[in-house]
Amino acid sequence: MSLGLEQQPLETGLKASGELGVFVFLVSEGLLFGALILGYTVLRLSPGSDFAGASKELSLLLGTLNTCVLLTSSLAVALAAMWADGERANYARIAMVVTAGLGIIFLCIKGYEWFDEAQKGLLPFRDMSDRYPKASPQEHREFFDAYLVLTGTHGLHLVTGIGLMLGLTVFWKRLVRPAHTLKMAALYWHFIDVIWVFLFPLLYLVR
Amino acid sequence: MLTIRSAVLTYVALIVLVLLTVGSTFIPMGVGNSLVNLAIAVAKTALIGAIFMHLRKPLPLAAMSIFVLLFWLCLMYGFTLNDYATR
Repeated sequence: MSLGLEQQPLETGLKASGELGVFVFLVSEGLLFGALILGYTVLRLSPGSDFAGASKELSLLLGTLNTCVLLTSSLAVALAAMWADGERANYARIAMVVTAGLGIIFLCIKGYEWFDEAQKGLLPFRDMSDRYPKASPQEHREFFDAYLVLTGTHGLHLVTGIGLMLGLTVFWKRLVRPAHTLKMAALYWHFIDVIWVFLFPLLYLVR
Repeated sequence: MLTIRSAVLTYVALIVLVLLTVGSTFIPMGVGNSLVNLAIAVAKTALIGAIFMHLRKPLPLAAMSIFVLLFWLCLMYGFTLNDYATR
């Protein structure tokens, strides 16, 4: 007689239904961001380069605000995962909406930053030659190329996370094991937060 | 087991670390600034991992996944930066 999914012995230490899969996925994501941050590091270590000097052009206030917003969303999703089991499922759903809302606020602030930087001619899709006629525009362009790639890739992951949170909230009652699914989604959300924890000092605090 | 108290305390600690890392940028320390920022980022990651992600006592396959990630990152960064450091 074969055992059901729930009755299988947990010899691996992980519950069945995808916990290992989530961790393997997060490892691959960690390597993706690791490679991107390594590219940034190599550019920054170039001898005689004023690469990091371009960081002064970023808004420290908005970067700090965004960091606090994302950390608050991590608290919200941690509480959601805590409330997911048992009778507080409605609290969990509210916390997931709050998490998604904070993610959207993060993207709005980031979008405003990109818009503002584009207006100043700092982002790669506008010519910067008139802004840095005497400095080292090539190095500053490299910084903003790296900035756009790093924050853009992070932003795309956040969009996925927001979709995940809203999808879980809407289809909560249709899921077979909603609490477990939420805990897996929460791991992904915390991972996005951890990536930003490293991007923030690398991009905003090297002035 | 996560409680509301431990979650909120972790959150407060994370915000304090953000303020510390931002504050440290106004004290000119040269390379020290980057090292302080990196150390604070690692501390924040440890807090998020240990408390929010429940990885304080990771289960065997979760621990192996984290080890695999750190191993490949060490290889990637080690070989690349070794090239830069010895030029």
